[in-house]
Amino acid sequence: MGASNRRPFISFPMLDGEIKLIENAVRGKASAFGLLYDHYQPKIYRFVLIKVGRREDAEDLTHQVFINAWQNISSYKDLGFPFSSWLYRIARNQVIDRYRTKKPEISLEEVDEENFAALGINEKSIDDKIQIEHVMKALKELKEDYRDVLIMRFVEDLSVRETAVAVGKSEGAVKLMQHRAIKELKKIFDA
Amino acid sequence: MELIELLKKLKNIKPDSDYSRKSRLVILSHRENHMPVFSFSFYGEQRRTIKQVATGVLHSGWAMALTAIFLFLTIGSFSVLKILSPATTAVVDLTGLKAEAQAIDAQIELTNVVYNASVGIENKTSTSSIILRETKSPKAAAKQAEDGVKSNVTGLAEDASAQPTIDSALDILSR
Repeated sequence: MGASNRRPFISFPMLDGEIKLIENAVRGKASAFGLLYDHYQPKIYRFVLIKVGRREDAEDLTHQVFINAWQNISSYKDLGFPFSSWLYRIARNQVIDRYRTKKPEISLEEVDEENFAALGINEKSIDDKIQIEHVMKALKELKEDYRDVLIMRFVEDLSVRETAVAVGKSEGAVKLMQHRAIKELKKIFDA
Repeated sequence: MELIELLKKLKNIKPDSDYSRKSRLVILSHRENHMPVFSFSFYGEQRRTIKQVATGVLHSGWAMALTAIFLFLTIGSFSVLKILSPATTAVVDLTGLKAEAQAIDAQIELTNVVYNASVGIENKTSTSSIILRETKSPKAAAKQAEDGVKSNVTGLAEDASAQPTIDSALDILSR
């Protein structure tokens, strides 16, 4: 696969010896893939949960993302972008496939204190909880691409290039989308 | 920016640890038990395995069909030959063929004789003309060539009258 030939650029702390782990996982070593799973599963789960809004759906979709990744890891090619971009891409496609006919409904009306804990949001102060609820509602109003860009850039801390790879757009397009998405989110939030 | 700070608060979302542990176990055992062609599961993987099965079936189907056609043609051609061969031999008239072959041979010999005779004349004329061209004027050379041809023809005619058989003529020419 030549994973060691190219060094992926780093925007957030990578797993120690990630390149070696990817190489071993590509060779079919389950333990190597297990470590990659441990590192990336919370990120993918978060990304999917913000997109779909339901814990059950998010769990099911995240599970499918990693099954697909494990099944197709032999076809993974290091083209200069990190492994996470590949996973986010699978996750995006998984959500699109699942909701091709049915639009995801984020039932934030049901997000009370209990449900917040069920989602995995463990904020202590009520103000924070209310704010998060507002952000999630506002994100729901955004276009799919805008929402993905904002989550990847500000929640997952991906670089512009990593985001561009994950959403399948150019870096310039991602920058523009990010600018427009923030503007739109602000407008929704203020309203 | 306050908005971005709020977005960053979404980082606190975490999956249930029990779910994560179970999911990990299932995923890692999944590939070990996975048979690439005949096992099925949900979503994308299912599409892939069905595709693989279909491709495999098509490939083997094509191979079997081509082998069957090849065998059919091979065995069929032998059978057809076996059936047709007595009929073809019955149609052939051996004595007629023999006579025809003899006639063809004779014709070939005769044409050879005529061809060889003409070649001899040509050769004689050409050599004499070359010699003459070197020594005499064009008019004189032409006359000389004409005379040469005439003498050759008369020589041949005399030879022919003296030995009228084709075999002897051939013998002379070859000498």
